[in-house]
Amino acid sequence: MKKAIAILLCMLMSFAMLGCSNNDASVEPSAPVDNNTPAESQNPEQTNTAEPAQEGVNVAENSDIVVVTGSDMVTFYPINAANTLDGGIQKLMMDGLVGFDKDYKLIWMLATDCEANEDSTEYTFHLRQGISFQDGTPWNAEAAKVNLDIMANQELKYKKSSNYRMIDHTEVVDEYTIKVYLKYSFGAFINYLAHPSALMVSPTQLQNDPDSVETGAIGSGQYSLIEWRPGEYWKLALNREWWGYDKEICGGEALVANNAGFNTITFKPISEAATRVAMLMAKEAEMGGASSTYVETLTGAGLTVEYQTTGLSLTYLYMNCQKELFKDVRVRKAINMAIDIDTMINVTEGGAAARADSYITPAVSYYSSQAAELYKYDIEAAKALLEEAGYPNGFEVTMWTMNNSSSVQRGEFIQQQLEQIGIKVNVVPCESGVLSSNVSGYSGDPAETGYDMYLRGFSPSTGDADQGLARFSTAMFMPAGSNYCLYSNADYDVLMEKGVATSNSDERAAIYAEAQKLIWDECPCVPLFFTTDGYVYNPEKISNVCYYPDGSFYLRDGVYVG
Amino acid sequence: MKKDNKTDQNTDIRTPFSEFVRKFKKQKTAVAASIVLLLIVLIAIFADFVAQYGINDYNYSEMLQGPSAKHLFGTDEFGRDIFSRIVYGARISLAIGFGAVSLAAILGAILGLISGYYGGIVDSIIMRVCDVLFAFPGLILAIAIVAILGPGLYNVVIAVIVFRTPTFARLVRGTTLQMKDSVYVQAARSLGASDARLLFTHILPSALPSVIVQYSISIGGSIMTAASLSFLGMGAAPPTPEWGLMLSNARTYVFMCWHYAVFPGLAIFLTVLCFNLVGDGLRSALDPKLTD
Repeated sequence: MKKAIAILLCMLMSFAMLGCSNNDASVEPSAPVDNNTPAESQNPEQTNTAEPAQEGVNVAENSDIVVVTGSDMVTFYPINAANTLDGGIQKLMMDGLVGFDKDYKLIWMLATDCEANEDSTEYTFHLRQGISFQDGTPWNAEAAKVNLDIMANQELKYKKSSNYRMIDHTEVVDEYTIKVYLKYSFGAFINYLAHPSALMVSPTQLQNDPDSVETGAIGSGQYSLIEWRPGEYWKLALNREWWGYDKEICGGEALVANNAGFNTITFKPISEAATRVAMLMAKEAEMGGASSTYVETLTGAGLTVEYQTTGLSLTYLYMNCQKELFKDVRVRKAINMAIDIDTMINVTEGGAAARADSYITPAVSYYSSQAAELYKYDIEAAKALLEEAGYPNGFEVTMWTMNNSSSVQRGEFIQQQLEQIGIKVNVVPCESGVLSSNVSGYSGDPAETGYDMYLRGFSPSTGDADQGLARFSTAMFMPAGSNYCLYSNADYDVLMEKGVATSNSDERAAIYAEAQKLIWDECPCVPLFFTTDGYVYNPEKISNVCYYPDGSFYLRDGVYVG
Repeated sequence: MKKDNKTDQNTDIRTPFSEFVRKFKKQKTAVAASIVLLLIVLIAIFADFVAQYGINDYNYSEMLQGPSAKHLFGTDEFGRDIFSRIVYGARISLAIGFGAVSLAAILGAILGLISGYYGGIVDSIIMRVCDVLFAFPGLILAIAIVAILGPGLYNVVIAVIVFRTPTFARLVRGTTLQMKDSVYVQAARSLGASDARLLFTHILPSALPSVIVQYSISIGGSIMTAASLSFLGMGAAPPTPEWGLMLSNARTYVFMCWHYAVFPGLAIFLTVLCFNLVGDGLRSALDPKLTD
């Protein structure tokens, strides 16, 4: 009898490991989850009891949905958020002066229009009237000034501060007019203000309790944060007073239909792809990202899988150019030649990606293809280059990446490829938040950076070439920027300055074309592939949801149908 | 033949060892488990002859294939042969199991002897440290240690040693306390035997049976701990064919390829089960209180 129990236990333990994927990154024991999220929806009587009095907002009280994400929130403070996921969530809670629609066309949000002088150095914004933040603070030029001044202050060294390094000062003209003076002419300024890092936070919160912004910013947006339990979930509730539902404030036509939105949205970070898929199939979640590996499994379960039409994200293998090894361009070229990217797309991406032929994707403005100059997969040539550079027997490097299964798999593929030219890669997977802080924790001393290589995607959420390309310039070293290569080249820096000094698109196109050619030859990283992110949702419960081109959730128009 | 046996029985004195062998042989499951275990150990030692492929022989045109004559257990996401990887993985798991637990047993025995024999403040310090370590569930302690030291197989070994040592220390201390004032130890002491001689040649052998049983059971548990840590991404780094790591990679494909998750899981299951069954058998054979 004892033995039978022992066998049973043993079996259970061995196979239970398959199931315990949920917590694979969290180290500390966490408090039991209180599963109050779906509780309201268990009561069918409550259906369609939305109060019609509320400005015509017609969102059912029981329209609670769960969305699964690949990683946890890092911060709710827009200017300090470096992750695409964070930006997308913040866009639900806060509005900027300008924003994007789902096709990434600019739309006016908290401003109604803007006048710029001829040099693009002075921008005058007229603000939308009749809006207040969720804490009751009115939205006016003073509120805008508080936010813009924080963004412009480079000494604060927030992760996205460098996006606004061109702002010189701001001036309140009248209650609903604000003027922004730039240090130099900057053609892409409006695009930058549409980036999630320019979302407006309540000035009351910024002034009285700035620390709380990181864990729960108060904005003027469609949703407000109810609770964030790191590692478990964060939950947003619909702001029925949102100005986007109000025809008058929006100037004729409301921004969204009166039935758009969900009573609450609970986001659950699940780093394991298979667990996310299992949750979606079990209808425990209504939406999530979908890797191409699972398309058949998911559609078979009655879920809808769709792909982005245009994508901004590109997966890079950054080489730390401050390390002695990668200072030599021959070594960097050898690595570019030793990775068979076409095979990689088939093996790790299930074919759902296209080989990168520049440092930005075709959806980013001023993209210029380097297809004629592609580094051909050639092991012998790569070996010869390494030998020429003085490393005939290769070397050993450390590569950092995220700990989700697809990132680790990509890392392992690169490990196999580089082994062919004698480079031993130690893959170090790390949880997204820890990884971001380790990478940005660069102290200013190049010798202190922990990684030799860093594998990660990036999507320039402004959609402008400046954001995608200027980050490889010297000014964009961490922590203020995201020059993960720590690459520094005076010629390139000059081009990047010229690129934003004008708003003439022909001139800009020429400058960025030259820059893309230059950086392609210099290859501080391996641009691997353009990713078209797939997303999956349960069509019986929700509709009108998709991804922004930068790969973050677009839920503004979402409708609950279940 | 029959005659030989008879004479053997007549002339042989019943030594503790022959008694142990006789009792152990009666445990059918334990004997079967030992044979399987021996097989696993042999496979691990002669992995180079058993495995048809290397651990990192990827072949992108044969990804995620089911079991076939060419690939006994199928292939993984890089087209590597799962059977070969499991065979090589046995080396890692067994090395961690035997290595870490042997070190823990030696360290624990020494601490237990010192603690039990000398008593006083030394005893208090050693036992309170053990109590602190006992206060944590094993795996949590191991995770904490690896989190401090950083991921890697060597750190997994250290973690296993740290959380296995107190068990051995306490076990040996108990026997030492019982034996240190027994008549035969007093006799040896009166003959002028040194402390070291008393501890290692007179007291330690009395503790051996319980240490051996604990040793066998601990190995199974330690293999499981090491696999769990690798599964959580805190142990072996890719492309090491560690069983837990393989299982972790297999999760992504659990909907499409049953074989990828099942075989590494079975390998862990079988090995741990055998160690536990052998441990059970040893306990029955070595415990004087249990009669046949």
